[in-house]
Amino acid sequence: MRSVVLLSGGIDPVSGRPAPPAGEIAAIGLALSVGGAVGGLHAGAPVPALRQAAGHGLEQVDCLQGGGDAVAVLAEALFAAPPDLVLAGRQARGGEDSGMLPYLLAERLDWPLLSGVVAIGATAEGWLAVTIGLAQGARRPAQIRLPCILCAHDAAPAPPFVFDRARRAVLRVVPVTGEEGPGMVAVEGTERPYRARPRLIGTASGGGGTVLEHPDPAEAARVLRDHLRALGMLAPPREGAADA
Amino acid sequence: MRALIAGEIGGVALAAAVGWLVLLARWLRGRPAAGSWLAGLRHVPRRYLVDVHHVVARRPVAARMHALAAGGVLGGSVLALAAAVSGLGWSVWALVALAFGVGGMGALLAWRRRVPGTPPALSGGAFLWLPAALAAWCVGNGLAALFMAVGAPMTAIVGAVVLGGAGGVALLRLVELGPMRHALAGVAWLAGHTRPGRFAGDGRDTGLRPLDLAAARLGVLVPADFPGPVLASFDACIQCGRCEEACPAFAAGQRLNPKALIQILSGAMRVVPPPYAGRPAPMAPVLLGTGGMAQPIVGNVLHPDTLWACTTCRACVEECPMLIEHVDAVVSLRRGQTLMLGQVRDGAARVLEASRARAEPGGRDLAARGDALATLDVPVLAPGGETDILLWLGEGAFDARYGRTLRALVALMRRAGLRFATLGADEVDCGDLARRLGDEAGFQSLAAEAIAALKTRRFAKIVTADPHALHVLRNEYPALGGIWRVQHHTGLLDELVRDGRLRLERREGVRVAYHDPCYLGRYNGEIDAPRRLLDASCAGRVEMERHGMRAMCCGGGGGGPASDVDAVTRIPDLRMAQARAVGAGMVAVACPGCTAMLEGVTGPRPDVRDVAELVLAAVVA
Repeated sequence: MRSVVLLSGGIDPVSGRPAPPAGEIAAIGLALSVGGAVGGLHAGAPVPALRQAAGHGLEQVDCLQGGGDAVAVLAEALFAAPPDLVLAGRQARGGEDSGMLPYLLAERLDWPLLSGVVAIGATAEGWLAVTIGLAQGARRPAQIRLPCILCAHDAAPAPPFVFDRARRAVLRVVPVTGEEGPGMVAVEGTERPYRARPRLIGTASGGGGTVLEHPDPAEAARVLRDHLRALGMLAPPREGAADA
Repeated sequence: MRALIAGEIGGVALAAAVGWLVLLARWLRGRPAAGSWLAGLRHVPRRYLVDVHHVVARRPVAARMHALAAGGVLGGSVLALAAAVSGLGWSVWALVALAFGVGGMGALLAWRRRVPGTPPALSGGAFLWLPAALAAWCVGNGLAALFMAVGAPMTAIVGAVVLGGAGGVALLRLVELGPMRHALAGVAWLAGHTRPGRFAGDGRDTGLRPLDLAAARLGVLVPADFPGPVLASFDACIQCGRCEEACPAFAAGQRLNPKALIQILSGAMRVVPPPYAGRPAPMAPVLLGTGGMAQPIVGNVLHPDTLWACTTCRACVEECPMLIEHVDAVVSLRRGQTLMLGQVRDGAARVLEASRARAEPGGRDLAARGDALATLDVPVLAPGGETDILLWLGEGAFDARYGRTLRALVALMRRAGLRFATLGADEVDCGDLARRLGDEAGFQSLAAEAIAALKTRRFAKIVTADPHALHVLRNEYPALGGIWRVQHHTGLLDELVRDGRLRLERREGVRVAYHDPCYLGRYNGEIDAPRRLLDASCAGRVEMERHGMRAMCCGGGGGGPASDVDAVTRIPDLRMAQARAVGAGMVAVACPGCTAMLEGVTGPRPDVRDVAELVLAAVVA
């Protein structure tokens, strides 16, 4: 299986220094977990953050230099030599990256896309098993048809940074002549100051809660047991067992 | 008869020389020494008789034993060979007998070391045979010389020579097994010592050397990656156990025993190493990998936790009579793991990543470093600006507790009328943590940025309250082109008090024990200025048992807290118990790391105050 990891050449949101976004490092980790050939792909000139990203496990990063619309340039490169799997981060981190890019690319290539992937499983008959990370640590298995685009969850295991790999990585410049994209779309709107909003507290499983005040122990135990059963963490009651 | 004695002693000497060459051939498979290893031989007598003896003599019983045994064996053997070859008269033979007699006394003292019981820090095994071998060599050859002097019958001389010869063979076998190897390897190590600065000037050479980041192999993965003299240093270890008695990680039950570490590194060079009969690292699983010059060390014969448990406090180096550089070995191995394999503990990986992306191991905004001083309006020096003192705030400035110390320091500097400024958001981390964790690339990039920022400003000196930053700025930046006068805040305050710019009035109160930061004491030799300040500000200063150059680490150095290696107990708890043991009601500190570690001790405990805070409380004008 051949995987390509999309690298944005990120900026650290706190320091403003070049640094690969956590999601892209996680994407590299997912690509490595699949095995096979893994390469990096970047629309733009080689920047220091790419070498840092490569330190997490890429031998080569192709830099599509020559301008034009990033989506078009990437789509053309991917169309010319289609990989089985394209991986990307999930969220822009303040550099020249965009959380929309994987979606636009998927639309252009007409490939399926899944976001928030924390683990990749086996392939079977052109379908890839993945695990999606949900809020509060919940996990959901899913299947996706290959080739596809996966956006890595930030919490997917990150491969370690190895300076030796970073210094050896090849940043290959690929000259491209991309069509000019739609450019910056001016968005109409007004900027308002931040307004504190109440936090919405929910659970991944969607269950509410029951508050018992000074319950008697048997009552408390029964409510707890029913709650755990409702969550599926306890087996349902056996036939004929005394439920008390 | 003379030929027999010459043959016996000469034969053993020749065999020892061949053994030395066999060892040398192995060491030479390491990286080449920095200078000429051979030319270093001329320094050996002085380094042996002065520097080695200086450390050995801290324990008079051991020093007496070694002086008698080594002096007697060497002196007797050389004299006997001279007497046997040149045919000198009875008086010289009497002298030979006397020398071997002295050696025999040494053998007796060596025997007393492990009888009735072997102290826990000493190794057993082959070491138990050492006194007998020494005694046989000294008694046999001594008697032979005595018989030569008085003209005893031939059979008596032959019998004595046979006993001496048996002792000689036993000593040669003990070279192979370890106990006598130190004599041969020690010569090579002292000749090629990797820190010649320890034998010149003020005798301190503690800064790590920069690594060439373009080299194919960064740091150490296999024994052959160590320089030749360093390999000799591992073989030179006599397993006296002084390092393990001083090691804070060992005391806390972490998987590090410096003595076992050096023995493992010595064994790593060999497919079949001689058995080790000392204490292992606490609770470290035994790794059964096979050694060899090209075999990986970590994970094969050395447990990774051993590497990351080291706080780089240099207590072991300070105690080592063979002047072995344990911390250099640990950092070399860490460099291999970090730079070549990325194999660091999770917590360490996070601080290294933050150091790369944010130039700050805690991942905080550099502009927030000065927040602790926000109310004091300390000027920020812009590029091109000029001031007298550049105040380097360091990593501790982000900590609210240490902010109090910095505010006390700033208040004192203001009171003394000093002109000073900070770098503001241009102060990046000095790179200490990255360097100790083996990330030399991260360190060099931070150092380059820090040096560039400092070079655009003009100032007379740098003052910092962080001994780690002090060490890096003072001792490690010069190799990268940053040469400034760097002073610790205790040194500055001491100067101000001495010059009468700050007047202190001693306050009555609880007993105060000063805890020496490793990077101020052992790394920089500054142990007096903080004590003078405390004597001037507090009544009733007491000394903990381990203090000054032999103080115990708080556990905060070398990336220890970030690496978070399993332990039985916490190092700062042990240190705090030592403060309690001398009845201290307050522990004075001079380092943000020590402050955080010692304040982290739970339960009722002595208060922790920085020297600057205590000085501020005592200042009257």
